[in-house]
Amino acid sequence: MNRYFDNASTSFPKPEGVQKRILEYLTHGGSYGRSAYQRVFETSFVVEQTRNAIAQAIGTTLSENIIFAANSTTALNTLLLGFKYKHYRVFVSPLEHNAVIRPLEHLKQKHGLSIDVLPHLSDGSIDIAQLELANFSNVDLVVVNHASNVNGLIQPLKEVKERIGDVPLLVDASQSLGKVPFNADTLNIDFVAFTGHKGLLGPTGTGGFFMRQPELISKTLFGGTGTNSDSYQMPNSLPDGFEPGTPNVMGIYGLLGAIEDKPKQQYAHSVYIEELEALKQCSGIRVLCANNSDMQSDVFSIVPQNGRVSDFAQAINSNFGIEVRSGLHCAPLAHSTLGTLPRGAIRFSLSPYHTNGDIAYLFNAIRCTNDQFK
Amino acid sequence: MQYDAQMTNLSNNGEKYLLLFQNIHKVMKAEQILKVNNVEYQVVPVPSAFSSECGMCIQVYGSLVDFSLELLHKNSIDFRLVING
Repeated sequence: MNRYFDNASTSFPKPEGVQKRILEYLTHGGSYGRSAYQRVFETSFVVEQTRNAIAQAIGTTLSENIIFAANSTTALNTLLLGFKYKHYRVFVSPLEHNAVIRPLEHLKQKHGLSIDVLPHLSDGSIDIAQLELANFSNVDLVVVNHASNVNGLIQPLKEVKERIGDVPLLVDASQSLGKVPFNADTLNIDFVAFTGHKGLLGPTGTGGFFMRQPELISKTLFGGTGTNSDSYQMPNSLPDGFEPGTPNVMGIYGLLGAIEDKPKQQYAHSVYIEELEALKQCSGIRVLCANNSDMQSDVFSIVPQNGRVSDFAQAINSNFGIEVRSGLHCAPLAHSTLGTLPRGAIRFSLSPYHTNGDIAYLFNAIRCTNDQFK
Repeated sequence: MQYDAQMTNLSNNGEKYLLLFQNIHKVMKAEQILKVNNVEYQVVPVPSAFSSECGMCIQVYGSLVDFSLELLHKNSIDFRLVING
């Protein structure tokens, strides 16, 4: 029985391939670039193999435009702080994480950046009909959280991109890449930030971003790249121009292992959706999820009518061994949109390793715990 | 930066040539292309006389250099060609 339901924080368990690749690195690996002996060549080859695998997952042929970073947050900081704003005006989706909001708030305080929230429905889904009426003139950038880390809602990227026209679109794919189909080239998405340790099932400390238009981003990190070493300036080429310093090579090995050994999802999505719909009918509990189940990812939250969310999380852990996160999940804007600020919610997030039996056990545990809190 | 390659019948002169790239990503891309096309090559350190660019480059031999250049051009990989004398 797998009782870990905190995969939106970090995935568990990891595929065996992660261990294998990390062990390979620890026993044989070397540095990335800088030299040409066999150990460095083999290590560099694995890093570039991983970059190609990420490009494939994102759905782009521009693998050199994939930049590795420590995580999604540093990737988003690089993109948002480095973006060449002309009008200092951005739109964000209503379910943004603080990894987006805090850098933007920093720019608001420093440069007077104007931050508007896209029109939306009660579950935070972007209202495409209203979007037609919105004025995007003098808007520099639109930022959309692809899959919410609070209610699991998947935003309609295709429709958003079609409506905003030439305004660049930055997608925060932290909770979606590896789980939700993604094709950056087909949708003509300009920027994507991702993490390696959630849907991709890799190790923490891995992630990065994709830039279709690198000329729109000023560099914010500087240092040695092993290229153009006679120059005091950063190189213009990609990916090295945005990747100073030695990358997390061990983590990147693990990430490749995760992608190579990606498991087939064991539970049926329909079983999960049926359980979720049934839970919505229970008294004494509010379920935070997408209004339309077609837009539901494997993350959802609940708010009990009575008691503190932290007490509910503690009770379900003590009585059923269920591991979950309660609180605001670093997404106060999302909770504000959903009307659950400042109380927060208890969040549940699935893994492809969960079985239908695990899902049934989880929803039974939620109902039983809810009965105690009524 | 766009590198220029001198594609003027370099084959069969017994020389060794170095293909220099902007970064490791391009070295790996080129290496894979040469490998699948059965081109004999060697990955070697970049002699400092030629470049301060990424630490490794690819050495190919006179008899195969024209074919190598053709493959890299066909795959839109930028490089610089020098004689490793």
